[in-house]
Amino acid sequence: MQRALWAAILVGGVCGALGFFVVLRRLAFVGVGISHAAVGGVAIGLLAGWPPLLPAGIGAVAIALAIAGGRRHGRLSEDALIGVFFSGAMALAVVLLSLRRGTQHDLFGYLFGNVLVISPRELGVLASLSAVVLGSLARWFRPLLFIAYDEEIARARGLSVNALEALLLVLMALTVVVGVRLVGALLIEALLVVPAATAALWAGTWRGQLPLAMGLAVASGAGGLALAWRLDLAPGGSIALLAVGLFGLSWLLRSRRLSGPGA
Amino acid sequence: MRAPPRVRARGLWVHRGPRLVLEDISFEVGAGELTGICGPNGAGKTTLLRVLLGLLRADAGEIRVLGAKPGDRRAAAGIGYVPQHHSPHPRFPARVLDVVQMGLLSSRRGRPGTRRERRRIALESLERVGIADLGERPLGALSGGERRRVTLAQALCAQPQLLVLDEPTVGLDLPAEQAFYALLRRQKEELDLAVIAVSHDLVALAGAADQLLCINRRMHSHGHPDDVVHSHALREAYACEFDFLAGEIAHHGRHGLGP
Repeated sequence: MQRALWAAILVGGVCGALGFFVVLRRLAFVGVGISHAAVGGVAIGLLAGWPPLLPAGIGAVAIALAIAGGRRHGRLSEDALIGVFFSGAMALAVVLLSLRRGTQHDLFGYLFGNVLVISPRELGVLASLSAVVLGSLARWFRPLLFIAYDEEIARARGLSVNALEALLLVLMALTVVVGVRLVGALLIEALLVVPAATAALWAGTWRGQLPLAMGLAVASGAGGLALAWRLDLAPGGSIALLAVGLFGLSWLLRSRRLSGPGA
Repeated sequence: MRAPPRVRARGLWVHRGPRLVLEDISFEVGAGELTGICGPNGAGKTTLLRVLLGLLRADAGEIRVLGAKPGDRRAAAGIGYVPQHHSPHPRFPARVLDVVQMGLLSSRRGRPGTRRERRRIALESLERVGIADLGERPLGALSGGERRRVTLAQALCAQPQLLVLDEPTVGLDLPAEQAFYALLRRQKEELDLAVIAVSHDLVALAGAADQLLCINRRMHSHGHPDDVVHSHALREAYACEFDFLAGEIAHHGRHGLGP
């Protein structure tokens, strides 16, 4: 349980920080595409007998770079492109898993999370990847904020906009890998998008939104784990539900506050 | 000895797919000069700016911006740019000071100096455009005209040698437009800037510019604004007749009216 709690804190911190940019740059559906690419990778790993997070990470990064490349060329809309990759990755997973004999309990853990069985080695990998993602965000925060403000001005100032975009998508891919054990590939969006969306309801600038998003994601992770432990529920689903519940509550409170007592 | 021009273009040809957009364009912009570019819709004005900024490549011709090829990272650090379709999300999560400080970012210099130094430079830039009191406000709390000034402050923040403005006064009413061009001329003189501005408002642009370029795929007219606005070539470029009020263009800060 202690390892699970550390995992929840690490994943929450990373997802909250990166989620700020996912919400700001409207990349939520891109996150869906990348996380489903990870499912394809997990299927390859389970079939081949490899550690599933390795092909999941390779698949997620590959799809992230393909999406970044597709956005640049502009022959197809972004959502169509993501739909193609998403469908392909899931179809691959279904076909590969149909070749597997026996039960698929371990698959459930990668799809919906099972952090309670996280090993010390996996926690170590998670911690290393979290350090890479958070370190990269800290180093490139202002250039990433600049391209979110106006890509064309940033390009005219000589910033490598294409490289920064690709970096952001690769960091999303690594974050998906980080979060797979906690909430699973199919629910990682809950931590990537929802806490940052909740923070945007409360704070007007990044100075408030960023730490609030990280705090909410950590609280959802740790609180969801505690709920799951106490009530014998699925941890991944509990974490996602808690995040969405906090968003719903925030929405109601902000709506009441904005409408005022006299309205 | 005369300083080299900040921008020199010779015989530029640009295609967008099969369509010829710019044909044999040549001009120079020196320090302390405000060059206006006018022309009808689809004339290639924005395309010309994008070629200067290295965002598009010319098919033929020679071009030097701040002594380097367009898109050169070293030169890019010396350029301030206000694009035509600039409309950040009204809830963009940053204070005005943060947005202005972004102007200090470039591939070459990263973010220079200490936090205090950057804040001082950003505040100075806001003072130049007359909105120093708005520094702590979220960007979304500003009016359209104020946001336009923030973009200009951001462009001036890195003390550029060349300022490129694409339709900078769109959406501004007449007093705001006049104030904007007066501000631009003041900054141009104080900072010894070379300025290139594209605008559909020919009267306001001609009143503020030191030289005017009229293009419609090719250069139809080029020279002193008085000469250009009264030339037949301008009417040819726009393919219509028009009459500026009593043939006079008010030149801000300069003497001399049209014939």
